[in-house]
Amino acid sequence: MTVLFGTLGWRPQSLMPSIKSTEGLELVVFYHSAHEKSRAARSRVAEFCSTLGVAVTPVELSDAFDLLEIAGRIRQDVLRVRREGQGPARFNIAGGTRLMSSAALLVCVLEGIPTTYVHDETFKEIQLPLIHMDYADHLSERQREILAYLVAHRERPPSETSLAKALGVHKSTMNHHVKELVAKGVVEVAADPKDTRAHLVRAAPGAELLVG
Amino acid sequence: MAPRVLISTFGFDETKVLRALRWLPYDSLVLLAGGKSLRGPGLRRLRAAERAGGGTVEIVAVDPFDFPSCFRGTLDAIERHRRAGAEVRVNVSGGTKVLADAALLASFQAGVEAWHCEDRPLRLPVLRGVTLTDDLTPVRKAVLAAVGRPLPATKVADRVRLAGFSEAAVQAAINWLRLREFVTVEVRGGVAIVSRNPRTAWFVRSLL
Repeated sequence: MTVLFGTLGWRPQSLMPSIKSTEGLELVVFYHSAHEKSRAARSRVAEFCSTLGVAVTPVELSDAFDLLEIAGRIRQDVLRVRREGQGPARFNIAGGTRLMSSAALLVCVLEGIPTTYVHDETFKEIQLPLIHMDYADHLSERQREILAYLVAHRERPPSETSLAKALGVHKSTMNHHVKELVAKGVVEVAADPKDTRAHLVRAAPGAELLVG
Repeated sequence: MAPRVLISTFGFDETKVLRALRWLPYDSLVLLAGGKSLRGPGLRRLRAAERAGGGTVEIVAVDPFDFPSCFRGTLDAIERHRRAGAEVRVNVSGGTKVLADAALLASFQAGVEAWHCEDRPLRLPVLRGVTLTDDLTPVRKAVLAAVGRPLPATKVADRVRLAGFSEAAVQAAINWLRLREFVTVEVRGGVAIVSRNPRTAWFVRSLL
């Protein structure tokens, strides 16, 4: 049985072809904005699914323009579906705002989910050549640990010295790891506004998506 | 310092690109655009603005409703400028959603920074410098090259072994490629046939 995820805008036609073409469809989970036209499209998709006897979970996004929040929400749902063993997933990223679509694409790349698009004019479904990129494989165990710590302490970013202490690593070793993470673009180092001699280390926006 | 190239998707509204130009430092601008937008007033205004700033605009023409065309156009532009030693960034705020998504995917796979510049600039979480081809070891590449036509797994092993790889390495490579959907393995008449996955075949060709 398959779970179909989708982003929905104002046109239900952007999602319908995937509902029709998915074999063994068990559940449709789709994301839409609070706009009146999106809600109208939601009703039509839900009605169609109900006619087919397919379960449907519409998710209204509080902000259809906050890419990182949307990506975080989608990823959480994808992981839950996997944990519950609800079958393979596929994703239609055609509808919704550009940022909803990009957020979904990002999750599909990170999680290796087969992705489809529906042509704006012909409504023909197109399979995207999306290949799973496991970014975690490109970070060492220690780097993942540092990144996870920084994500968990996003509100109060530590200095490099306190980060080294917290993770039980020598200062110079931590300096090496931080430099590598900065070069990879997932960590940022900025001057501490309270102490100009100190530097704070923080996770780059969206880094939580890379550490799962 | 390496020249900074900003590759941006573009539709009709030049303000989306102008926002990116204001936020992201760049030395030269490349626009991915197609269809009627190439004759639109937005592009004329953008060109005039760049001329006034002493620069030029390079145009990469794509079909903005065709994913492979947009993806290849972006990837080619990224690779060309990187080969020339430039530091490349991609902005995906303009143009059709297909164009933006294709440019985003190309950026992920090429390991370059991708930005959305709407109300505020947002860099997408991508590991800089990490590309899909990093994972393609010589034996994996050799397997991909061998299965231009569908072949029994034993024949793939025979061919790739000629290049000096062990059978175990070839089997491990086939398995890795299958899990990532580069290839499919189907059993026909009791024989395991390895082929390039039709969904990703056109993309795989660009990797070899």
